Amino acid sequence: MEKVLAVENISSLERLFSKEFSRVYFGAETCEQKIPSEVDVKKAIAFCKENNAGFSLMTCFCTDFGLEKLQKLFPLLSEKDELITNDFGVLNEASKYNFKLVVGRLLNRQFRDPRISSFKGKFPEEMINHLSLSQASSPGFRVLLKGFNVSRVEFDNCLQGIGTSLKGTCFSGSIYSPIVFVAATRMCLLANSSKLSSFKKVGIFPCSKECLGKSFRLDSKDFSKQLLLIGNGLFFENKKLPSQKELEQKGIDRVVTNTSLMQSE
Amino acid sequence: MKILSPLSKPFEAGPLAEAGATEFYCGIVTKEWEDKFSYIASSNLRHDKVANFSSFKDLSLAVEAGSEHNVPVFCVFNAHFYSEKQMALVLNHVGQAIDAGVSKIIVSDPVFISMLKKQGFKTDIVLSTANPVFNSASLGFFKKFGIQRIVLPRHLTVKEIEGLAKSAKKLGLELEAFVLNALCPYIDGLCTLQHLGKNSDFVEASELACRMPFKTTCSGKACNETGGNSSSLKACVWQNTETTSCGLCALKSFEKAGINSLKIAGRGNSFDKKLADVKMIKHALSLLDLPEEEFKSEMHGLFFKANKQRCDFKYCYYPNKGLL
Repeated sequence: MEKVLAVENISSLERLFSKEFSRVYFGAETCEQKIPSEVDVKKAIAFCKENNAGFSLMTCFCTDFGLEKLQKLFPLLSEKDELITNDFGVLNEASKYNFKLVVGRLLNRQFRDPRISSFKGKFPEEMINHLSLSQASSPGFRVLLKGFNVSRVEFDNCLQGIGTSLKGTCFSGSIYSPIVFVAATRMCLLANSSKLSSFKKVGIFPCSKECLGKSFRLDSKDFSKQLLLIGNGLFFENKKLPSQKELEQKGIDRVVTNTSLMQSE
Repeated sequence: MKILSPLSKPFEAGPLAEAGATEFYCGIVTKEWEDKFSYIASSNLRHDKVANFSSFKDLSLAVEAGSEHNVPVFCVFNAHFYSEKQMALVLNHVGQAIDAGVSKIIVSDPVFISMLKKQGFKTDIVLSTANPVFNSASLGFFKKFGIQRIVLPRHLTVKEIEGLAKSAKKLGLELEAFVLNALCPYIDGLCTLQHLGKNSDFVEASELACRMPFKTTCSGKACNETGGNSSSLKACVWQNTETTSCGLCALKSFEKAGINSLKIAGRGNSFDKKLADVKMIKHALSLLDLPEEEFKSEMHGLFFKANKQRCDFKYCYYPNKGLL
């Protein structure tokens, strides 16, 4: 099982990388404000080379502003590098290059609401099974991805389990652990949250990346899991990873460790 | 610009068309679907009965009523994806919707779009906001699938919409933008919170998980910085908010940018609310010739009259245009 470290910036990379990781995911998954600079991507590539680790550029859904920034990063990647895409427009543009393409967890639709795990026994089994599927279960989706030379599809470790198997397909699978994605916003509550004057100001505004220093834990009696508002993303933690055997049976051969999301800079 | 109104009952079509609606959209979840997959795995992104037709007979009556006023009806099949087991039934439902006279199908799943083409359905296809298009490259990506129109995500600024409209024009794509109701805190196409409340019962839209009361705790070294005390409060900003949102202040910009259709969210709203919303937009469109500031002031007045509350960020789709 390949172990990967996912980080958003150089300081996290230097702080959290260890020899157990054979690859690094570098970059922002949900926010175009945090797309790394060309200088930082070059530094991260050099770091990986030095440490004999593979390099993958993590990319987010983005507007034309973010896409322009990403397009400057694409030429920095070599044939052996990977690009994780979470936006069909980014996939479209990235497919013009010869690095490897990976469909990130945001593009592989899953039912992620932690409350789903409590449905068992309350609803028909067929429906419960449906809720453990993902878009990658669909042969049509695989054909679409094959057309873009995508080699890997990624999953979240949802509480109800993963009902998709990539075994016998031309794709490998990855699973993210321990932070499970639930939702994303562009009306970021952490943006400008240090300014009293901005308390009630909600919308899409320039920010000072206040998310790098704080996150919110959200508790409700209706949710068995605490929700985590980290930057512009809503997540929860699931520490229980399926066994290696279970993962291998589903064609999953990579675990992406994303604990850095929880560790404020 | 067209006024796209939600529809959930046949009797609504006539009066809404008379009030100014020029397009309708609706969803359908039949008893057969409900028995097999339940509302939790709805064939569209509304998981509540009140928002959907339950029979093709009713859908047909609504289409008939709309056609008396030359107002077309579009049908929503925008689940994030369909399983192999669901696909046969959803394709059957699309066929029945087209037979009932529906003129556009609103979809999210790119695989489903390919299936519609493969099955030879002769219908226009609209890409739902459930598959969010934030950039020009995505417009190009979906154009290749034979999409005619794209519903823009709620989470775009007017400036970003203007940029996308330029690209859409070059590609020959129509654009639809939200202007009333249901300003989701999270991006529709990237939100996987189920529309459920306590005990997994189906609940009204106003009790969505994103608007539930949460106990919030700020975590991290920056929580204690200046204004840090407001941080936790800010995370409560959406709690218990109504879904009476508005983007009318952007109408002048939308007209200039070439936006084709103005979307009113709220399939589950009451008939009276739907009627009031259509009338509100019709009135707003009649004021487009006013100077920018005067127009904005009129729109603020319309919002206050309709909702008995002042404009505020949490109700505003396009605050850069409407509040700043």
